[in-house]
Amino acid sequence: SSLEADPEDWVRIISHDGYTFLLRRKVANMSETIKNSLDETGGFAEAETKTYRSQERGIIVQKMIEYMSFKAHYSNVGPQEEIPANDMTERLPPEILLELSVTFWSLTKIS
Amino acid sequence: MPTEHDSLGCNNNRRIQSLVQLCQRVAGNHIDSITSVGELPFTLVQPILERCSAEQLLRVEDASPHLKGDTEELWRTLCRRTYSAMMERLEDGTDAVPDSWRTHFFVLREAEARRLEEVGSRIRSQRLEADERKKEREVKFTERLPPPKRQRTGFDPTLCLYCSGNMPTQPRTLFQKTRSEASRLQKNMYNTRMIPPMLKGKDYRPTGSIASSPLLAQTSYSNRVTVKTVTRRPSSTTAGSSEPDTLPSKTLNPSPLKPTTSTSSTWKAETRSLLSSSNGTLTIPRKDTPKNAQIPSSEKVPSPSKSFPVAKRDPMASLFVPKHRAYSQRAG
Repeated sequence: SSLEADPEDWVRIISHDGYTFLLRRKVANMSETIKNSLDETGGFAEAETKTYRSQERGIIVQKMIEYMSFKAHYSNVGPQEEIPANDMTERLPPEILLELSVTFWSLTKIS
Repeated sequence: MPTEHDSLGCNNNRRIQSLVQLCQRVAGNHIDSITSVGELPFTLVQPILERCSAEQLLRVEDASPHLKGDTEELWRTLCRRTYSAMMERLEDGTDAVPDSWRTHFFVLREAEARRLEEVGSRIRSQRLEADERKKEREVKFTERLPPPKRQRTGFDPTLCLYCSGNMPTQPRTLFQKTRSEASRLQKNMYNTRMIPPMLKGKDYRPTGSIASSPLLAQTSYSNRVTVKTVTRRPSSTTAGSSEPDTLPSKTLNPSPLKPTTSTSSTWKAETRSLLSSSNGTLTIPRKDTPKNAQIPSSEKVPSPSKSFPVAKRDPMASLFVPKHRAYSQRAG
Protein backbone atom coordinates (compact mmCIF):
# COMPACT_ATOMS: atom_id res chain seq x y z
CA SER A 1 0.00 0.00 0.00
CA SER A 2 1.07 3.55 -0.48
CA LEU A 3 1.31 4.15 3.20
CA GLU A 4 4.34 1.97 3.55
CA ALA A 5 6.51 3.77 1.07
CA ASP A 6 5.54 7.31 2.05
CA PRO A 7 8.56 9.36 2.88
CA GLU A 8 6.58 11.23 5.42
CA ASP A 9 5.76 8.09 7.23
CA TRP A 10 7.00 7.64 10.72
CA VAL A 11 9.30 4.75 11.28
CA ARG A 12 10.84 3.40 14.45
CA ILE A 13 14.44 2.65 15.40
CA ILE A 14 15.06 0.82 18.61
CA SER A 15 18.56 0.84 20.17
CA HIS A 16 20.14 -2.20 21.69
CA ASP A 17 19.54 -0.98 25.20
CA GLY A 18 15.84 -0.35 24.61
CA TYR A 19 15.51 3.22 23.51
CA THR A 20 12.90 3.89 20.79
CA PHE A 21 13.30 6.65 18.30
CA LEU A 22 10.60 7.83 15.94
CA LEU A 23 11.62 9.52 12.75
CA ARG A 24 10.30 10.19 9.30
CA ARG A 25 11.05 7.69 6.63
CA LYS A 26 12.85 10.24 4.52
CA VAL A 27 15.28 10.77 7.36
CA ALA A 28 15.67 7.08 7.96
CA ASN A 29 16.39 6.65 4.31
CA MET A 30 19.57 8.66 4.73
CA SER A 31 21.00 5.35 5.76
CA GLU A 32 21.12 2.84 2.99
CA THR A 33 21.06 0.03 5.44
CA ILE A 34 17.98 1.18 7.24
CA LYS A 35 16.27 2.09 4.02
CA ASN A 36 16.72 -1.35 2.69
CA SER A 37 15.58 -2.85 5.93
CA LEU A 38 12.39 -0.92 5.97
CA ASP A 39 11.64 -1.44 2.34
CA GLU A 40 8.83 -3.85 2.06
CA THR A 41 10.05 -4.96 -1.26
CA GLY A 42 13.23 -6.23 0.35
CA GLY A 43 11.46 -8.97 2.10
CA PHE A 44 12.70 -8.10 5.58
CA ALA A 45 10.50 -8.51 8.56
CA GLU A 46 11.01 -4.95 9.56
CA ALA A 47 9.01 -3.70 6.63
CA GLU A 48 5.81 -4.83 8.29
CA THR A 49 6.57 -3.32 11.61
CA LYS A 50 8.40 -0.26 10.29
CA THR A 51 10.87 -0.89 13.01
CA TYR A 52 14.60 -1.18 12.76
CA ARG A 53 16.51 -2.75 15.59
CA SER A 54 20.04 -1.34 16.06
CA GLN A 55 23.04 -2.98 17.71
CA GLU A 56 24.26 0.27 19.14
CA ARG A 57 23.41 1.79 22.44
CA GLY A 58 20.96 4.64 22.83
CA ILE A 59 23.21 7.63 22.67
CA ILE A 60 24.93 6.42 19.58
CA VAL A 61 21.62 5.82 17.84
CA GLN A 62 20.44 9.21 18.84
CA LYS A 63 23.42 10.96 17.39
CA MET A 64 23.23 8.95 14.30
CA ILE A 65 19.64 10.02 13.80
CA GLU A 66 20.57 13.62 14.46
CA TYR A 67 23.17 13.43 11.78
CA MET A 68 20.72 11.88 9.42
CA SER A 69 18.31 14.69 10.04
CA PHE A 70 21.04 17.20 9.44
CA LYS A 71 22.00 15.55 6.26
CA ALA A 72 18.43 15.12 5.04
CA HIS A 73 17.75 18.78 5.56
CA TYR A 74 20.82 20.19 3.85
CA SER A 75 20.85 17.78 0.99
CA ASN A 76 18.22 19.79 -0.78
CA VAL A 77 19.44 23.33 -0.24
CA GLY A 78 20.66 25.43 -3.14
CA PRO A 79 24.35 25.38 -4.10
CA GLN A 80 24.89 28.91 -2.83
CA GLU A 81 23.74 28.21 0.65
CA GLU A 82 26.29 27.54 3.28
CA ILE A 83 25.98 24.33 5.23
CA PRO A 84 26.57 25.00 8.90
CA ALA A 85 28.63 22.14 10.12
CA ASN A 86 28.61 23.67 13.55
CA ASP A 87 24.99 22.87 13.96
CA MET A 88 25.99 19.31 13.96
CA THR A 89 29.32 19.42 15.66
CA GLU A 90 27.99 21.16 18.68
CA ARG A 91 25.71 18.28 19.16
CA LEU A 92 28.57 15.88 19.50
CA PRO A 93 29.82 15.34 23.04
CA PRO A 94 33.51 14.51 23.02
CA GLU A 95 33.01 11.39 25.06
CA ILE A 96 31.33 9.52 22.29
CA LEU A 97 33.35 10.76 19.39
CA LEU A 98 35.56 7.79 19.01
CA GLU A 99 32.77 5.31 19.48
CA LEU A 100 30.71 7.18 17.00
CA SER A 101 33.55 7.27 14.55
CA VAL A 102 34.09 3.58 14.87
CA THR A 103 30.45 2.82 14.30
CA PHE A 104 30.13 5.03 11.35
CA TRP A 105 33.44 4.02 9.91
CA SER A 106 32.96 0.33 10.21
CA LEU A 107 29.70 0.68 8.42
CA THR A 108 31.30 2.64 5.63
CA LYS A 109 34.12 0.17 5.38
CA ILE A 110 31.80 -2.61 4.81
CA SER A 111 29.82 -0.80 2.24
CA MET B 1 22.98 2.38 10.04
CA PRO B 2 23.54 5.13 7.56
CA THR B 3 26.62 5.12 5.42
CA GLU B 4 28.59 7.83 3.80
CA HIS B 5 27.52 6.79 0.41
CA ASP B 6 23.85 7.11 1.11
CA SER B 7 22.22 9.56 -1.14
CA LEU B 8 18.68 10.13 -2.14
CA GLY B 9 18.82 12.63 -4.87
CA CYS B 10 20.77 15.04 -2.72
CA ASN B 11 23.26 17.09 -4.61
CA ASN B 12 25.09 18.39 -1.63
CA ASN B 13 26.80 15.24 -0.57
CA ARG B 14 30.12 16.67 -1.42
CA ARG B 15 29.57 19.58 0.77
CA ILE B 16 28.11 17.74 3.70
CA GLN B 17 30.86 16.20 5.70
CA SER B 18 30.48 12.68 6.82
CA LEU B 19 29.87 11.96 10.41
CA VAL B 20 33.34 10.58 10.71
CA GLN B 21 34.77 13.78 9.47
CA LEU B 22 32.66 15.75 11.84
CA CYS B 23 33.72 13.55 14.69
CA GLN B 24 37.35 13.96 13.77
CA ARG B 25 36.89 17.65 13.73
CA VAL B 26 35.43 17.76 17.18
CA ALA B 27 38.02 15.33 18.45
CA GLY B 28 40.74 17.62 17.20
CA ASN B 29 39.37 20.26 19.48
CA HIS B 30 39.52 17.99 22.46
CA ILE B 31 42.82 16.24 22.04
CA ASP B 32 43.76 16.66 25.66
CA SER B 33 40.77 14.60 26.59
CA ILE B 34 41.89 11.75 24.42
CA THR B 35 44.09 9.40 26.30
CA SER B 36 43.74 6.53 23.90
CA VAL B 37 42.27 5.78 20.54
CA GLY B 38 41.94 2.18 21.44
CA GLU B 39 42.01 -0.14 18.51
CA LEU B 40 41.05 2.42 15.98
CA PRO B 41 43.15 2.22 12.86
CA PHE B 42 45.54 4.92 11.91
CA THR B 43 43.51 6.04 8.96
CA LEU B 44 40.59 6.83 11.17
CA VAL B 45 42.56 8.83 13.71
CA GLN B 46 45.06 10.42 11.38
CA PRO B 47 43.25 13.73 11.09
CA ILE B 48 43.15 13.88 14.86
CA LEU B 49 46.84 13.07 15.23
CA GLU B 50 47.82 15.67 12.73
CA ARG B 51 46.61 18.24 15.14
CA CYS B 52 48.47 16.77 18.10
CA SER B 53 51.44 18.33 19.81
CA ALA B 54 54.53 16.25 20.47
CA GLU B 55 53.42 15.33 23.96
CA GLN B 56 49.92 14.41 22.86
CA LEU B 57 51.19 12.32 20.02
CA LEU B 58 53.55 10.54 22.32
CA ARG B 59 50.76 9.79 24.75
CA VAL B 60 48.44 8.41 22.10
CA GLU B 61 51.22 6.30 20.68
CA ASP B 62 51.99 4.84 24.05
CA ALA B 63 48.34 3.87 24.53
CA SER B 64 47.99 2.43 21.06
CA PRO B 65 51.38 1.15 20.00
CA HIS B 66 50.06 -0.08 16.69
CA LEU B 67 50.07 3.49 15.55
CA LYS B 68 53.81 3.94 15.90
CA GLY B 69 54.62 2.56 12.57
CA ASP B 70 52.50 5.07 10.81
CA THR B 71 53.45 8.20 12.67
CA GLU B 72 56.87 8.88 11.14
CA GLU B 73 55.57 11.45 8.79
CA LEU B 74 53.73 13.11 11.60
CA TRP B 75 56.94 13.41 13.57
CA ARG B 76 58.72 14.83 10.59
CA THR B 77 56.09 17.48 10.29
CA LEU B 78 56.44 18.24 13.95
CA CYS B 79 60.21 18.64 13.60
CA ARG B 80 59.81 20.99 10.72
CA ARG B 81 57.17 23.02 12.46
CA THR B 82 58.96 23.33 15.80
CA TYR B 83 62.61 23.54 14.86
CA SER B 84 62.49 24.95 11.38
CA ALA B 85 65.94 26.50 11.58
CA MET B 86 67.67 23.29 12.47
CA MET B 87 65.70 21.39 9.90
CA GLU B 88 67.11 23.55 7.18
CA ARG B 89 70.45 21.91 7.69
CA LEU B 90 68.86 18.62 6.76
CA GLU B 91 67.23 19.98 3.69
CA ASP B 92 70.39 21.41 2.25
CA GLY B 93 72.27 18.26 2.95
CA THR B 94 74.45 19.30 5.88
CA ASP B 95 73.22 16.60 8.19
CA ALA B 96 72.26 13.06 7.48
CA VAL B 97 68.62 12.07 7.42
CA PRO B 98 67.70 10.58 10.75
CA ASP B 99 66.39 7.09 10.99
CA SER B 100 63.58 7.97 13.24
CA TRP B 101 61.91 11.29 13.15
CA ARG B 102 60.45 10.64 16.52
CA THR B 103 63.87 10.41 18.22
CA HIS B 104 65.18 13.20 16.08
CA PHE B 105 62.50 15.47 17.40
CA PHE B 106 63.72 15.04 20.94
CA VAL B 107 67.33 15.40 19.85
CA LEU B 108 66.42 18.76 18.38
CA ARG B 109 64.55 19.70 21.50
CA GLU B 110 67.59 19.02 23.68
CA ALA B 111 69.86 20.97 21.38
CA GLU B 112 67.49 23.88 21.53
CA ALA B 113 67.39 23.81 25.31
CA ARG B 114 71.17 23.74 25.52
CA ARG B 115 71.49 26.66 23.15
CA LEU B 116 69.03 28.71 25.11
CA GLU B 117 70.87 27.91 28.33
CA GLU B 118 74.17 29.07 26.85
CA VAL B 119 72.72 32.27 25.56
CA GLY B 120 70.96 32.88 28.83
CA SER B 121 74.04 32.36 30.94
CA ARG B 122 76.10 34.52 28.61
CA ILE B 123 73.64 37.33 28.92
CA ARG B 124 73.49 36.85 32.65
CA SER B 125 77.25 37.00 33.06
CA GLN B 126 77.48 40.04 30.82
CA ARG B 127 74.89 41.77 32.88
CA LEU B 128 76.71 40.87 36.09
CA GLU B 129 79.96 42.18 34.69
CA ALA B 130 78.32 45.39 33.67
CA ASP B 131 76.84 45.73 37.14
CA GLU B 132 80.21 45.09 38.71
CA ARG B 133 81.86 47.71 36.61
CA LYS B 134 79.12 50.11 37.46
CA LYS B 135 79.57 49.38 41.14
CA GLU B 136 83.26 50.10 41.00
CA ARG B 137 82.59 53.48 39.64
CA GLU B 138 80.08 54.29 42.29
CA VAL B 139 80.82 56.62 45.14
CA LYS B 140 81.25 54.44 48.18
CA PHE B 141 81.50 55.06 51.87
CA THR B 142 84.78 54.05 53.40
CA GLU B 143 86.56 54.26 56.71
CA ARG B 144 90.07 54.38 55.32
CA LEU B 145 91.90 57.55 54.47
CA PRO B 146 93.11 58.07 50.98
CA PRO B 147 96.82 57.34 50.50
CA PRO B 148 99.08 60.26 51.44
CA LYS B 149 100.75 62.20 48.73
CA ARG B 150 104.30 61.38 47.92
CA GLN B 151 106.67 63.42 50.00
CA ARG B 152 109.78 63.24 47.95
CA THR B 153 110.88 62.15 44.63
CA GLY B 154 114.65 61.93 45.10
CA PHE B 155 117.14 60.15 47.23
CA ASP B 156 117.56 61.69 50.57
CA PRO B 157 120.81 60.54 52.11
CA THR B 158 120.32 62.28 55.39
CA LEU B 159 117.33 60.21 56.11
CA CYS B 160 118.99 57.07 54.93
CA LEU B 161 121.76 57.43 57.41
CA TYR B 162 119.47 56.89 60.25
CA CYS B 163 117.87 53.81 59.07
CA SER B 164 120.05 51.73 61.26
CA GLY B 165 119.18 53.84 64.20
CA ASN B 166 116.24 56.03 64.75
CA MET B 167 114.42 57.83 62.00
CA PRO B 168 114.08 61.55 62.13
CA THR B 169 111.01 62.56 63.91
CA GLN B 170 109.64 64.80 61.21
CA PRO B 171 110.09 65.19 57.51
CA ARG B 172 112.78 67.52 56.37
CA THR B 173 111.81 71.03 55.66
CA LEU B 174 112.24 72.56 52.30
CA PHE B 175 115.25 74.43 53.53
CA GLN B 176 116.93 71.29 54.67
CA LYS B 177 116.20 69.59 51.43
CA THR B 178 117.48 72.44 49.40
CA ARG B 179 120.62 72.60 51.40
CA SER B 180 121.44 68.98 51.05
CA GLU B 181 120.59 69.08 47.41
CA ALA B 182 122.82 72.03 46.90
CA SER B 183 125.75 70.50 48.65
CA ARG B 184 125.28 67.37 46.72
CA LEU B 185 125.25 69.25 43.51
CA GLN B 186 128.25 71.14 44.51
CA LYS B 187 130.11 68.01 45.30
CA ASN B 188 129.30 66.56 41.98
CA MET B 189 129.98 69.62 39.97
CA TYR B 190 133.27 70.71 41.37
CA ASN B 191 136.20 68.51 41.74
CA THR B 192 137.80 70.80 44.17
CA ARG B 193 136.13 72.80 46.71
CA MET B 194 137.33 76.32 46.20
CA ILE B 195 135.86 77.81 49.25
CA PRO B 196 135.89 76.14 52.53
CA PRO B 197 132.61 75.77 54.21
CA MET B 198 131.85 78.41 56.69
CA LEU B 199 133.23 77.69 60.03
CA LYS B 200 130.72 78.54 62.60
CA GLY B 201 131.67 78.50 66.15
CA LYS B 202 129.88 75.37 67.04
CA ASP B 203 129.63 73.98 63.66
CA TYR B 204 132.93 72.44 62.99
CA ARG B 205 133.63 69.06 61.77
CA PRO B 206 135.69 66.50 63.48
CA THR B 207 138.33 67.21 60.96
CA GLY B 208 137.62 70.86 61.09
CA SER B 209 140.90 71.93 59.49
CA ILE B 210 141.00 73.23 56.05
CA ALA B 211 143.10 70.38 54.96
CA SER B 212 140.64 67.87 55.97
CA SER B 213 137.61 69.45 54.55
CA PRO B 214 138.70 68.94 51.00
CA LEU B 215 139.13 65.41 51.92
CA LEU B 216 135.61 65.41 53.05
CA ALA B 217 134.56 66.29 49.62
CA GLN B 218 135.80 63.02 48.41
CA THR B 219 134.08 60.97 50.93
CA SER B 220 131.51 58.65 49.76
CA TYR B 221 129.68 55.98 51.52
CA SER B 222 131.64 53.23 50.09
CA ASN B 223 134.01 51.16 52.05
CA ARG B 224 136.67 51.70 49.57
CA VAL B 225 136.91 55.34 50.27
CA THR B 226 139.56 56.23 52.66
CA VAL B 227 139.98 59.72 53.72
CA LYS B 228 142.82 60.90 55.67
CA THR B 229 141.60 61.84 59.00
CA VAL B 230 143.43 64.69 60.47
CA THR B 231 142.92 64.47 64.13
CA ARG B 232 144.35 66.69 66.64
CA ARG B 233 145.71 65.41 69.83
CA PRO B 234 147.07 67.75 72.39
CA SER B 235 150.18 65.67 72.96
CA SER B 236 151.15 65.10 69.46
CA THR B 237 152.61 67.87 67.48
CA THR B 238 154.76 66.07 65.03
CA ALA B 239 153.91 66.30 61.46
CA GLY B 240 154.58 62.71 61.06
CA SER B 241 154.21 60.58 58.13
CA SER B 242 150.74 60.51 57.24
CA GLU B 243 149.39 57.17 57.87
CA PRO B 244 146.29 56.94 56.01
CA ASP B 245 143.72 55.13 57.78
CA THR B 246 140.40 53.99 56.73
CA LEU B 247 138.54 56.24 58.98
CA PRO B 248 136.35 58.62 57.20
CA SER B 249 136.80 62.20 57.89
CA LYS B 250 133.82 62.42 60.03
CA THR B 251 133.76 60.53 63.21
CA LEU B 252 131.53 61.00 66.09
CA ASN B 253 134.13 61.10 68.76
CA PRO B 254 134.79 64.67 69.31
CA SER B 255 137.20 64.31 72.17
CA PRO B 256 140.42 63.94 70.27
CA LEU B 257 139.30 66.48 67.86
CA LYS B 258 138.42 69.36 69.96
CA PRO B 259 141.35 71.59 70.25
CA THR B 260 142.10 72.45 73.77
CA THR B 261 143.02 75.84 74.68
CA SER B 262 146.53 74.84 75.44
CA THR B 263 147.26 73.69 71.99
CA SER B 264 145.08 75.97 70.12
CA SER B 265 147.95 78.00 69.04
CA THR B 266 149.66 74.99 67.60
CA TRP B 267 146.59 74.08 65.72
CA LYS B 268 146.30 77.44 64.34
CA ALA B 269 149.92 77.26 63.40
CA GLU B 270 149.23 74.18 61.45
CA THR B 271 146.46 75.85 59.74
CA ARG B 272 148.60 78.70 58.84
CA SER B 273 151.34 76.49 57.59
CA LEU B 274 148.98 74.77 55.35
CA LEU B 275 147.80 78.01 54.07
CA SER B 276 151.27 79.09 53.26
CA SER B 277 152.26 75.87 51.70
CA SER B 278 149.52 75.93 49.27
CA ASN B 279 150.26 79.31 47.83
CA GLY B 280 147.34 81.12 49.14
CA THR B 281 144.74 79.00 47.54
CA LEU B 282 143.21 76.27 49.36
CA THR B 283 143.29 73.30 47.26
CA ILE B 284 142.89 69.78 47.99
CA PRO B 285 146.34 68.45 48.70
CA ARG B 286 145.96 65.58 46.46
CA LYS B 287 144.34 65.37 43.18
CA ASP B 288 141.21 63.46 43.05
CA THR B 289 139.57 61.89 40.13
CA PRO B 290 136.10 62.74 38.99
CA LYS B 291 135.11 59.52 40.45
CA ASN B 292 135.99 60.46 43.90
CA ALA B 293 135.01 57.14 45.27
CA GLN B 294 138.02 55.30 44.03
CA ILE B 295 140.65 56.71 46.31
CA PRO B 296 143.24 54.13 47.18
CA SER B 297 144.04 53.79 50.71
CA SER B 298 147.73 54.18 50.35
CA GLU B 299 147.64 57.75 49.16
CA LYS B 300 149.45 60.10 51.33
CA VAL B 301 148.33 63.36 52.64
CA PRO B 302 150.80 66.20 52.75
CA SER B 303 152.61 66.98 55.90
CA PRO B 304 150.42 69.55 57.46
CA SER B 305 147.97 66.90 58.09
CA LYS B 306 148.42 65.36 61.38
CA SER B 307 147.98 61.80 61.93
CA PHE B 308 148.52 59.52 64.80
CA PRO B 309 147.85 55.96 65.37
CA VAL B 310 144.24 55.37 65.92
CA ALA B 311 142.61 52.54 67.64
CA LYS B 312 141.21 49.93 65.40
CA ARG B 313 137.76 50.70 64.28
CA ASP B 314 135.19 48.70 62.61
CA PRO B 315 135.34 49.54 58.91
CA MET B 316 131.72 48.84 58.60
CA ALA B 317 130.99 51.75 60.83
CA SER B 318 131.96 54.04 58.03
CA LEU B 319 129.11 52.84 55.96
CA PHE B 320 126.48 55.03 57.41
CA VAL B 321 128.44 57.98 58.49
CA PRO B 322 127.18 61.08 56.79
CA LYS B 323 129.60 63.12 54.82
CA HIS B 324 128.29 66.22 56.37
CA ARG B 325 127.41 66.36 59.91
CA ALA B 326 123.81 65.52 60.10
CA TYR B 327 121.49 68.29 60.57
CA SER B 328 120.40 66.97 63.84
CA GLN B 329 124.00 66.91 64.99
CA ARG B 330 124.52 70.47 64.13
CA ALA B 331 124.02 72.71 67.02
CA GLY B 332 121.44 75.32 66.42
